Amino acid sequence: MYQRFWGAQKAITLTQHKWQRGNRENSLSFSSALLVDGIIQEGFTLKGSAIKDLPNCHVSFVISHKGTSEYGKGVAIARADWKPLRIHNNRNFGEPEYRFLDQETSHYHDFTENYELGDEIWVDRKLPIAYPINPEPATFENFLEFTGEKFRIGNISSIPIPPWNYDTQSDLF
Amino acid sequence: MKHNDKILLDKITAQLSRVQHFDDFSFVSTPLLLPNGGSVVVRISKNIEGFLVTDHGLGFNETELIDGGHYYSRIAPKVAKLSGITFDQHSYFVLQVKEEQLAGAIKTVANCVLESVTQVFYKVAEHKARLASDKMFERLTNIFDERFLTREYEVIGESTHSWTFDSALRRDDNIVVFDMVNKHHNSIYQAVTKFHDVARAEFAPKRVAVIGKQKEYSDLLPVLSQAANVVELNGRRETFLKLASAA
Repeated sequence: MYQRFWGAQKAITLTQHKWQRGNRENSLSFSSALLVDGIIQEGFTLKGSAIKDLPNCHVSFVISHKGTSEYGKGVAIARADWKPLRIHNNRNFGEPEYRFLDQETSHYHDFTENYELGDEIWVDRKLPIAYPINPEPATFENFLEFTGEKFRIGNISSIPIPPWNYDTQSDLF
Repeated sequence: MKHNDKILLDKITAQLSRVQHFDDFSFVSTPLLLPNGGSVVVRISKNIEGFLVTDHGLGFNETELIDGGHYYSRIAPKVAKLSGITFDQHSYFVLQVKEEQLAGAIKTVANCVLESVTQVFYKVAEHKARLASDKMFERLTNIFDERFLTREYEVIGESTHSWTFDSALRRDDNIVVFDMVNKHHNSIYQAVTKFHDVARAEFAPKRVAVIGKQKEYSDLLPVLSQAANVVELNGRRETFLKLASAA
């Protein structure tokens, strides 16, 4: 099921997209159902996350599946992180040249290679393999473009820039 | 240890944490890795009372992305209590930290984040189905010769879709497939679809749905039994043998 979904050209719904205040005051979240061939795919969601007082950094997009299957309540299908505060480390998975290396820049967790690790790892560990995005997207729009291409979401550019609070002085990236 | 190696280790140890400075605060990326490989990050700021150490809600944020925020809100206060620190619905924090306490406070906050996020990850990916399947396989091995049992057996349905069954009993060309079906409606619907498709296939194997307690399956049991025999996991040994007798 997941391979077929991943391989398909997808779209976010055509409703007016907005970043919402997340469940905590400082977080911003985005969410849209996903369509394939005009049909909303049950359980599949594109989620975005940003921090209100941290403009132009620590943005993530994840395709997730809220499962009713044997995988339990949540499966992360793919993920992209832009200018994260977190370092990522693949541990001993993935391409040998990236194993145990700290990735301090934007990175991308692809479905296929993580899926091949088997359920116990890719489902429970939520996509442990990631590789740097080269070149690192300079702007949010560039990041959207990258994410849209990798996630195969044609209309992703309709997602607006998160309503960051620029009064803070954290935009040092 | 040679002198050069000692110098190297000093250098490597210094790399275990990274710090990003902003005007009013700094983020320390700790050596602790979350299950998905992301590091635990802690924010440090200073006022006249000392340092404030917090995860800035980033642990919560991480779990929100996997629909686990509600679990985090439940788990994190307990984890905070066990370390004597505070959790305010979204963030761990420690106030009035003195310089000599700072490293310890950072480690404590970071470990709380790691513990709670890890618990949420496992909660979200509940292993119930797998555990049930393990129990069923154990039961089958107590009844049948293990040499004839296979786990995760694939069968092509009439639709040509390939379905995976939890276990199969194979003796020569006679095959019985077993699937553990839990009481949740979706689990039953999925199993029914699978059993129906396989039942219509050429050379369909004999199909057995293994369930928990009958009374928990309400009126959906007859739906399940349309395309498979149904037996309780703790059903009698003779029942299993009878069901497999064609094999």
